[in-house]
Amino acid sequence: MVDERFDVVLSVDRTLMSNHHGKEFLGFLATGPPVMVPERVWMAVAAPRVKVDDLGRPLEAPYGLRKIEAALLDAGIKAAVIDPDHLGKHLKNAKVLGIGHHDYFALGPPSSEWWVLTGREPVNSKCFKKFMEKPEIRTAKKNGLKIIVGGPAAWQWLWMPEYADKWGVDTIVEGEAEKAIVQLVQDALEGKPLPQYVHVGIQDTPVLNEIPTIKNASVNGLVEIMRGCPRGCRFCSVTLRPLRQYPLETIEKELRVNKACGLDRCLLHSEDILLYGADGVRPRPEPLIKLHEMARRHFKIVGWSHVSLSAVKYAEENHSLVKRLSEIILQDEHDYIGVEVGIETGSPRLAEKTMPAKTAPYPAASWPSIVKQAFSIMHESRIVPAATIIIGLPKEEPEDLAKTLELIDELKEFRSLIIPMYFVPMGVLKNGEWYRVKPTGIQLEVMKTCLKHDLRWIKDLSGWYFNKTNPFVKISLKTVIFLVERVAKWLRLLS
Amino acid sequence: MSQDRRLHVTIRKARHLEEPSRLVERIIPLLTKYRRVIIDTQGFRRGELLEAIRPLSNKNIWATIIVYSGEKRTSEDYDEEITVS
Repeated sequence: MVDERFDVVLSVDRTLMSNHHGKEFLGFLATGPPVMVPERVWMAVAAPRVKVDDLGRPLEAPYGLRKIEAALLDAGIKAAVIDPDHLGKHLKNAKVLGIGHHDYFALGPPSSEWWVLTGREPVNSKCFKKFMEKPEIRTAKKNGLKIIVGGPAAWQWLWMPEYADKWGVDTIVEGEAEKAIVQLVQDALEGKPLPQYVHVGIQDTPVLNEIPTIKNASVNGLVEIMRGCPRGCRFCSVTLRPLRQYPLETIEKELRVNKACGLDRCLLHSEDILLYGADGVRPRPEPLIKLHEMARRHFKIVGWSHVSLSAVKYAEENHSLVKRLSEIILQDEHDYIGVEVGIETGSPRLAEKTMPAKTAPYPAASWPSIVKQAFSIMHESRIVPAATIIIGLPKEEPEDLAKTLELIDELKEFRSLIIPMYFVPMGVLKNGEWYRVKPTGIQLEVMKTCLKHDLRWIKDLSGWYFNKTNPFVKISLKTVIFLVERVAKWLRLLS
Repeated sequence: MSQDRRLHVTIRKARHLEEPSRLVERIIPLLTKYRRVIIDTQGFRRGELLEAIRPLSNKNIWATIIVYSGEKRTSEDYDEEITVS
């Protein structure tokens, strides 16, 4: 076996260190507790182990960890992402353990919602706690290992200080860390005192040429095409970051890294794919067509992370662009592409209060109509939106939820999934009993309507989604869907 | 916000005074004027310190903020130094 020592080990628990069988959406199962199957089966479906090399380095790893790894390597620091099952041999020598996570304690959406509804802790949080309790981490900590945590869920440590204490977390880093991490790690390696908390401000947020190119493959070939978002929604933290668009050459470098590592697919990532090269919030054909043609030259399977519904409507109405892009990336007439979109509310009043720019260039008053038209466009172009609805937004009234119910009903003919997210105001976390906050009657009605919508379309989509999926996953998921449907019928949720 | 202005803050927790997070909330309006803010904290237990700085995470703050437990006087020059307790 090759012997190589790393001063910095980057890792995370299995729910994120997985390629989810090549299907990103399966990863979302880890945000809930197991449903009608044992936890081991649930985990095997949501987050199987990834292939590793002789040193325990995963073939694919979360993109955020890959960016931090690249920043440290570029600074001449010996760092590597290591699979959680292979930490032992590296932590004996490492001086720093860096951890990044989307949802350490299941306080973010949709985990918090499943916790509220079921009263059971989601597997992502349980799995992370087990990860932190690993004997190899505990032993290394006793021997002086420094632990630095970050990622989009870094804020959660401030609400769970007892765990930071218990596990000896040295530094919490909030914000984009590619620049800040280098100094922190250098200080740790030199034995200097570390701060307890770093909030990376705007001027220390990396500009484009300070964001390193990944050196090793990301999960399912994810590559970022833009950072930040111009829409300014009040419930979203991405919006607080400056907007940066990578040039095509930079994106292509990362596509090549993933291809060289043997990946057969790519997932273009941005808060709004259609705003790549846009004129403000108005999509433009040329940059988007070039981007997609380039991605297709490297990979047969090209996916999208997120688009906004107003951009879908504008792009199609003004340039027939959604159809054109779907023709580039969908070569088979039986194929589909899935993408995350945000409906959030069916109420124009609430849309205007919480996300006025999300509807731009259209007025917030026409939000329900924008949503319907965008769903119709995507349905025609074989794009399947996995849409979020936020329940419990500040200043939400029952009338707003009634409008949301109306809208969901009007979307029933469009191939899609609609996922209700529970907005958990930070204030309720204080009393430690936040997961017992129950939804109101009309909030439950919205959730039931979403379930009804989803069960209908899951059946329709399962042929495509399970195509080329391993039999174990196919059988497990079909069993869960069957049982959920039976229980929902028994509880008269689908009547 | 100035390009390079730096602020040093010492937060001392006095017994029976006020909720620790209130001490931090008091300094937030000041932060807009600086690019970099170093906060030394005194008298906090670790868990208490993380609770106290929650307002830094909730608010839309543009400065880089670095929080130490205990005194971390560096050789950096600060444009302003304040103490809250």
